[in-house]
Order: sequence, then structure tokens, then C-alpha cells
Amino acid sequence: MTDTESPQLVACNNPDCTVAETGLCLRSIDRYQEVCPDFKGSAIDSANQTASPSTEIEKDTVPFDLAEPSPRRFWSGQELGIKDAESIMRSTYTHLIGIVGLTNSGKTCFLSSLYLRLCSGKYPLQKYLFSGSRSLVGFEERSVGLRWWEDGEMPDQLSEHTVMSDPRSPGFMHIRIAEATQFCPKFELLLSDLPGEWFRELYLNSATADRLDFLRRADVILLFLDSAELLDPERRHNHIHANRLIVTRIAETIDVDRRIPVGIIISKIDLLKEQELDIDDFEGIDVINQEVTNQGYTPRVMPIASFSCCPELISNGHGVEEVIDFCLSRRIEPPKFDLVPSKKYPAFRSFHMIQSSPEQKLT
Amino acid sequence: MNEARYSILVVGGAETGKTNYIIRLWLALKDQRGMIRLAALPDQIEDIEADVHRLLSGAFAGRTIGELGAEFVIPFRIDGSEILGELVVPDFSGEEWDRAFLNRQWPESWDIYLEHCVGCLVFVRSNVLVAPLNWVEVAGLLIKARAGEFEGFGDLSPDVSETEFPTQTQVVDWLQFLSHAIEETRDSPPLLRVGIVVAGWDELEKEATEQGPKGYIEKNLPLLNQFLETNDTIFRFRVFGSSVVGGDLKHDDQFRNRYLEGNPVKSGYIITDVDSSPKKSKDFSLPIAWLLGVQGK
Repeated sequence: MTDTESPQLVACNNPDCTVAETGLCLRSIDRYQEVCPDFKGSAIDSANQTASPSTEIEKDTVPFDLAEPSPRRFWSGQELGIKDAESIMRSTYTHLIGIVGLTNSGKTCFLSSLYLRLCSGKYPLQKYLFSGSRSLVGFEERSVGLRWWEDGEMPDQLSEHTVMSDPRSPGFMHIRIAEATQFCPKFELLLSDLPGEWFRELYLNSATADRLDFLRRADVILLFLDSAELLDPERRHNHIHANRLIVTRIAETIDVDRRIPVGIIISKIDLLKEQELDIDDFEGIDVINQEVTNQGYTPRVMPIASFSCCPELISNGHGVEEVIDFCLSRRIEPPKFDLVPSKKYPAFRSFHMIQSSPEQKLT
Repeated sequence: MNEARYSILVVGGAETGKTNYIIRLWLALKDQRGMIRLAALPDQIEDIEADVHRLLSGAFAGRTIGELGAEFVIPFRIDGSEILGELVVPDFSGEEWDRAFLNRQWPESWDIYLEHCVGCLVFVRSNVLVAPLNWVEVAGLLIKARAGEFEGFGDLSPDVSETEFPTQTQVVDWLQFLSHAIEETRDSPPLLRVGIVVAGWDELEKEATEQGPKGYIEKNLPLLNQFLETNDTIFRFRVFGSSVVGGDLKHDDQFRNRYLEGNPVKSGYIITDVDSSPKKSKDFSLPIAWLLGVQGK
């Protein structure tokens, strides 16, 4: 740059990003000039203050006018991406709960119900207390219906990071709970929050299984069955059939360890209660139970009513605490072989198995 | 004698009573009757004296003292001892705290107070408190969605900055931010003392005051209460009630007249829980004394 050339500042199309002032990309992408979708390489001539598109931005020739010091940034408060979850899992043992189920099967309502039982003071959990969360904003927004999957193109991979302005992204909701006992042991929970569409695509096409590899690290899998579907004779059988296929994919394609507990969650049982029905009245639940058993897992059926249309018959949040009990009841010990994990057989349920690596799949 | 520097953050959203407490605290320190007393007059008191003028004239302060980014530095001594120190109270407005929560960041300039931070006072006030999610309302919304009465909540999604988050959610996140920032800044993070101040205690219904400040938090901010009780390796907390002048200067003319005819410097009170029952004190330095570890655990 010669003395006659004015220094160039760079800008970002995202109005919330301060990369022009701080050099730090809001999406936490190091090579943002090349990778970040918001950074279009608009170079602002500081003398003329007009934006002109540039074709190539060379890293070393883009000086920054650091007008303001960079703020201290915290987590987004929403669902955690893989890298965000990793930092928690590195610091302490974390219970990864794989929440599985088709669209509208009650997955998000379960998350909201859990949160409400902790924060509302009404229908409190009996055994657990709230001890922290990096997803508080996300829990609040889901609970009032403000954070739903957007119409249009569904994200096709787990997020690495999330930022405040992101739309809802596939990731993990974080919450820490403590036992309401003298010594108050704490449990870090990461509950997967994924679109139901992913599970439909899973059973239709095994090629989509890679993005669900994290289930192999899960401490427990919760498979949600929708009572509303079970009640409707025209939808019941397809619902059961689809869930059987999901179970098969989890076992045969993703190859989740058979010792991982599987909870079969019958959601919205308030609808059954309202019609004086019970889960025993539905043979299809037995069919799923048997499918899970045949695949080598040990299932447990748990009915829940995250929100009840007839609270006089069955309370709001019924069964949610029992599901948490189930999730925390067992901790899988690694098999006692190979003190040093080989490259062919990666360490049992080690975190890196969350990221798909075909050559490392267990054979 | 070492004059250690102690910074205390004053946390809370807009209109939660932070500024009026600081003004009242200043008057109490100057009065030399409390547990914490003024050791010397600070060089610069123009900003706070402007608000003192308002209070002594019968009006509450409107907003944060002085310019944004200012700090209040108070040389203090502890009654009955020769311990001296410098109390640093940075002046962060409620709007700045709200922005920190919404934007998930705070200015780098705030970090300079972390090194000597002994704790914080978190202000909540009943008439601006955003209640926790109403279970019944949420259940109603979701039941309707289930029944197909909504096509989808996507249409209802407002800009997140317009969402009114419950007070307890904001406070928990502020405390998580603070704990995280101190852990990153200091080699041996201390146990952080958190004084929750329920401001405007005189505005509460009698039934609400009978349960004391701790009882008020347990009932109205259950998430915050659980958070503090289960994180006793990170925080030590205590709850206070506060009434700066003991009544309503804005809407109660009779009270205002009595206040002005009396001694405003001795008005108001702090409520503490003693043996599970609320006790009234005239010493406005009590929350500060507790933060400094002088008064009680």
C-alpha cells in the first residue's frame, strides 16, 4: 500500500457482526474471508466511504481499523452446536440424551415441560433442582412457541456453533440439575434437539445416518411415540411402522451399543386419558417394544403428558420426572479391553464419535 | 495500613432501584452510623450529589448516576476496626444490563472490575418484575397448536429483542456470565458473594413481606433460588429487602410531606432475615458489609 492509497476497511453483510472493528467474526469462523457466508468481501474505501465488491480478498492485505476494543462474548443462550457441547463435555461427565421421534411426536414439548417444572414453582420436580443452563433463552423461547423450525430449507447437519441471531439449529439443549438431597450431586444434561424430519429421512435412506452418529455417544435414547397418531386408526399403523424402521436404523445402521437404555416415550397421554384409554389398549406399543427388544436393547415404556388438556385427570408434566430418573439411572461402563484404543476401533463412546468419520465406524 | 480495592457490581434491569439505593447508601456512609463508614470524602462527588439533591428535595432519582461508564469510588472504613479500603461501584445502567443479556456480551471495559470483584448486588423490584412463564398459558398455547388451531408458531415469532424474558431468567444468566468471566480472568476465583436486594419493599403487600426477603425470592423467583442454592461452591448469597425512604414519594403526598418535615437522611430501611424472620434495620451499609465479608456468612 503506498502513501497515496487510503487504508481499506472491510465490512460484513450481517449488521450485528463487528468484524470490521474487531477482526472477530460473529460466527466465530477464523477464516471468515473465505468461509463465512455473511462476509461478502465488501471493501469500503475509507476515503470515499463507498462499498465496492471485491473479487478476491487477500488476508495479508486487509488491515483493520480497530476502532473499539472487542467485547466479552458469552454463549448464545440457544441450542449448543457440536463445538459448544464439546467444551462442556470436556470439563465434566455429561449425560447425552438422544431424543428421537417424528415431527410433532412431542420432543420439544418434553423439553419445555421439563424447563417449566423447574422454573415455574408450580408442579415442581420432586427430586431435582435447577442448577444452571447455557440454553436458557432457548428454553424460554421454545416454551412460548417462539422457537420452532422455520419453513423452508431444513438444516441438514448439526451446527458447530450457534449465535444469537441464528434461526433454530439442530443441536443440544443444555441444562444442569442437582439432586435435592444433602450432598446435592449435579448432572449435566445435553438433550438433542433435532427436526423430526431427520428421523423420517433416516428410515427412508440410510445415507442420512451420519448426522445422527452422536447417538453412539448417547447415555440414553428416548424414542417418542405420539398418542394422537395412535388414537387415529388411519394413522396408527403407519406411525408404528415408521418407528419400527427408525429403531432398525438406530440398531443396524448407526449401530448404537446395545447396552444403551432405550426409553419408549408415549407422549400426549392426556389425549388417551380424556377418552378413558390406557397405553395397554394399544397393541402397537407392544410392537415397538418388541422391535426394540429384538434389536438387542432393553426398553422401558414411559407415558408422559408434557402439557395436559385435562389436568383434572392427569397433571401437566406428568411422567417427565420419571423420564429424567430413567436417563440418570445408569451409566454405561466401557468394556474392559484395549487400554489404548486402536485407530480401527475408537475409544468406546468417546466424544469424537459424534463427528462422523466413516473409517472409524465400529465393525 | 493497606487500603485494598474492592469492586462491587450493581446488577439489575431498568427501574429496579439500583441508583436510589446507591444514593441512600452514600447518605448512610456519610452519616457515620452504619457498619461501613466513609473514611474520606471522595474527590469527585458532583454526579451523586446531583441525585442526593433530588432525594432530599422529595423525589426519587430518575436513572443511573452521571455519565454512562462512570464509577463511584468510596474510601471506607469498618466500624470498630482500623480496616480501610476503597469501594468501587461501577455505574452500569439497567439498559446496559438488559443489552448484555440480549446481545450475549458486555463491553470490554467492564472486565477491569473483575480482578477485585468481591461480589454483586442484584436488584429486583416487584412492580417491574417479569414473572416466570405461566404454566397454564403455555399449556393452553401448545394444546391449541396440537389441535391445529395454529398453523404454526413461526408466524408469531417476534424479533428476540422484543421478547420479554422473565426476571429470574435474566438474573441467572447475568450471574452465569459473571461467574464465567471471573473464572477466565482470575487464577483462583473466589466464592462470589451475591446480595439479592428486593427493592421497593414498602410497595409489597403485607402478606408478601411476612415471609421475609428469602421467602419472597423462593416464591417469586424459584429458578433463581434453586440456582443459588445448588451452586454453593461458586456463590454465597443472601437476600435483603430495601426501602430507600420508607414510602412512595411520587404518589403519596401525605407521606412526602412527613418525609420532608422529618429527617430524610434517617428515612428508609433494610430488611434482613434473622432466624427465618424478617428484621428491619436503618443501616443501609449492611448489604455492603455482608459482601465484604464483615457481617455474617
